[in-house]
Amino acid sequence: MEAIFIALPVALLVAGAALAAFVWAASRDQFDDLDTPPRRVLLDDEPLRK
Amino acid sequence: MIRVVGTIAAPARAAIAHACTHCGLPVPNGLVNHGATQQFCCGGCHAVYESLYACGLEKYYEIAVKESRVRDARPAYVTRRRFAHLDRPEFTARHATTADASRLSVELRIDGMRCGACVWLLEALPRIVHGLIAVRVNIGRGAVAIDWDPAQITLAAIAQRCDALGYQLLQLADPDARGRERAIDRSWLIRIGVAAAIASNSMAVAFALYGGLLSSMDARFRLFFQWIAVVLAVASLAGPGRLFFANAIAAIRTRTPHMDLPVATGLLGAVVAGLVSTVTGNGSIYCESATMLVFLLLVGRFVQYRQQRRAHQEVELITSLVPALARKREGDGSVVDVPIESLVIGDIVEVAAGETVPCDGQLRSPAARFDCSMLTGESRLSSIAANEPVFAGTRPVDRPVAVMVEKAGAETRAGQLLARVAEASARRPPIVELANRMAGWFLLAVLTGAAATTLWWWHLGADVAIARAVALLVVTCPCALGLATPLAVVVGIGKAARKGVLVKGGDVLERVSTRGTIVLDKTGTLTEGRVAVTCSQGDPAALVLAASLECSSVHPIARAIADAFGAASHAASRDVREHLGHGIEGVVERQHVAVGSARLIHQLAITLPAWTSDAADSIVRRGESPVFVAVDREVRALVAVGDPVRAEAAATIARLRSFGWSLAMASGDHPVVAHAVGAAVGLQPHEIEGGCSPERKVQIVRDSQFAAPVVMVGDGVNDLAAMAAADIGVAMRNGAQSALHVADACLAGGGLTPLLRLVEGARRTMHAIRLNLAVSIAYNTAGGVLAFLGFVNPLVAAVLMPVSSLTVMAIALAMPSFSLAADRADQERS
Repeated sequence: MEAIFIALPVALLVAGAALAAFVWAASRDQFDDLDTPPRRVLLDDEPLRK
Repeated sequence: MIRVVGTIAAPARAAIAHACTHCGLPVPNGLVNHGATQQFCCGGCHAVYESLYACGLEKYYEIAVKESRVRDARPAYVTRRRFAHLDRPEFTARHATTADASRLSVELRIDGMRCGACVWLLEALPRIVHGLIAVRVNIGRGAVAIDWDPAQITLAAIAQRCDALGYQLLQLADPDARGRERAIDRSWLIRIGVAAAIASNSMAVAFALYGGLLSSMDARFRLFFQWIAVVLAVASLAGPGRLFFANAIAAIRTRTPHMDLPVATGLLGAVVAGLVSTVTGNGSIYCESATMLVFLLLVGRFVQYRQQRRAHQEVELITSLVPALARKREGDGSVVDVPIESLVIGDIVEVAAGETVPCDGQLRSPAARFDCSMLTGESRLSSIAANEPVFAGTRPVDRPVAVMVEKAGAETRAGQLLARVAEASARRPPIVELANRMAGWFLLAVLTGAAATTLWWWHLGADVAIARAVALLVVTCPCALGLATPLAVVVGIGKAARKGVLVKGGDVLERVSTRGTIVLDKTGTLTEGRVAVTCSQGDPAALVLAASLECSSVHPIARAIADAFGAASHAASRDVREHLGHGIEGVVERQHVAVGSARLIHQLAITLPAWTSDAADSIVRRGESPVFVAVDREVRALVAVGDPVRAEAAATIARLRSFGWSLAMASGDHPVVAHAVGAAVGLQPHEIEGGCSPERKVQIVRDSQFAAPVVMVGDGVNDLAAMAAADIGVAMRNGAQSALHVADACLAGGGLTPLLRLVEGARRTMHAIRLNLAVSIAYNTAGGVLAFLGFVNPLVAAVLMPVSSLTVMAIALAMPSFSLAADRADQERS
């Protein structure tokens, strides 16, 4: 059971890393527009008639 | 022979076989191009179609077909403006940012977006427009970011390209405010994300503790878990939960009661108690509930904040009521586009027929007829003589006019109207949701109960007392309380949306929880808000000839007659002469046809037969306009033209009355018309008020508001202030864009029937919320008492805890909040 003394802090560190990644993404406007990018992914490659 | 509108209009509409190639809407009979494969409902769609092919962007239509499910069908609109104001140095200085000398960036508002195909089209533009570097569309904000090289192209030229494709670029009213709002939104997102992460982790730790209490956990482990739980709780309070303490401290300073005061006390109490018992090494902690509560309360606050912010945005709406540009006549006779802000008193602006007047001023042209319905709600066109005042937001119908500027921008009547809307929205007290009001007190009560349990049983030994206190704390977890409202509201809003009612927030439902008064606008709400033929009598062949003749006119009455009777007519007309404001004459199938008012018939020296005079009188009494049809100088038919009453209006009003709502009608239209329509839909004369100014409508709403909630249903700009003042403003989907912004709910399609679903659904949703709160409080009280008496041990409590949450969820999902009212209404109609 003593493993918990290491496992729990490690788990919290991992959670903290995920949280840090979320804050990083949020403060760089990654969640600013959730509607347009999914459409853009599908539409970008349409070739134009020359 | 009198036929009602249903029998005339329905077959005519069913006969429309042509859908617009660009927007997919039906093509009016008058514009059908027989024999062509492409059909267009208006000049705008045609122009956009041509420019798409000219640019090689016709791929747009393939993508649009795939997107048809989410597509918002609307005709395209091309202004052919020059957008010169976008190139002015002061605009560039205020709105644009410079990356380097060959790259400028700007964010603009964009109008005319319909679906994902529009995103593709706009973002494909840099591939064909030289000097345009990048276009990024943001659908949610209705904005577009443009990067361009000023050495190769001007922003005005880019705006003209977009305009040719049916998208108008408009400047943001206040670019700095937009930036600030985005920063605030972002900080809320981070705050809620952090709170959620801490809450879920501390719940996991707490469950380890609950489990350990029964299986005699080693003291070392227990202390370790407790320390981690305490650290997480302190982090939650110091980080995302700081907001509540800031509010509570401000409340103490200003000595005003604030609901954050008990919340902050409860949170602090829970964490300090946990910290003390951890440091002293005995006792239990209640930290995970504090972190959970921080998260749930923050979510509620964020929703509230978004709703309050709407009130401020409404002030910006002036741009959507009045064009941002005016065509100013210079001293040398040339005409230039200028932004309305730069107009000064005495300038002359030109307004084309059908365009919106940009300023208040004096008419400097011969008399013209104006459509004032947006400002006043009046359905009849009003004639304005030379040198009489005209107002921003009205539209000349049949001829271009010149207006001398007297007031512009916020000083115009339209501007003052919007100021009143903003004021009314700000005066509406923000509603504190039931669960929010209770959360703080609940937490305090639980902590007091836990303390009392410990003290009461102390004589049986510390371990028994503490175990019972812990059981009480665990079993009364506020999860169910926190879930009760949001769940019922989310379920209610989702069901409403499926039934054609778009509700903007949970507090909307809470505002009309009891039955009160519904105030209805007339034009566009009880009626369809357009000119149409309501009945006709006389020779049907003459009506078809009249429709053929009217096909060549764009006047609203002409379009109505062409739509009603033109389905079978292909005949071309020659020698057409329009008599402005009176009617039209011409030759169709070698017969002379004249269609118009009694005055036109007199002018043409045609005698009115006796049968028409009574019929024409009764048409005028109904508030509609008689239109005579003469073939070869003999009056052969009489048509009544007016704004048709919605087919479902009378039934809806009867249902609302039977539900227990009071009804009233406030119309800006002439009292005669208001009473005629009111009687047709089953309103009593004392419930009808015609000739209301927008201010009077606000007064009517406030007068009915003393005890019961008021719902204001409207569609026009003249209803905005009343909609903002009412407990719920409801907009018709086809109404003015600004009305959709101000409204709390919007009836999307299906006419008035969804109104039934909204008011009854709101009541049922509130019923579900109350039932949920009652269940969770009853459960918590019962659980608390049992724990106090020692019947519940902490592990059983931990197992029981989710039961209350599940009960609440089941109630919220099973409540027939929106479907029942709707289904019953449907049944009775069929």
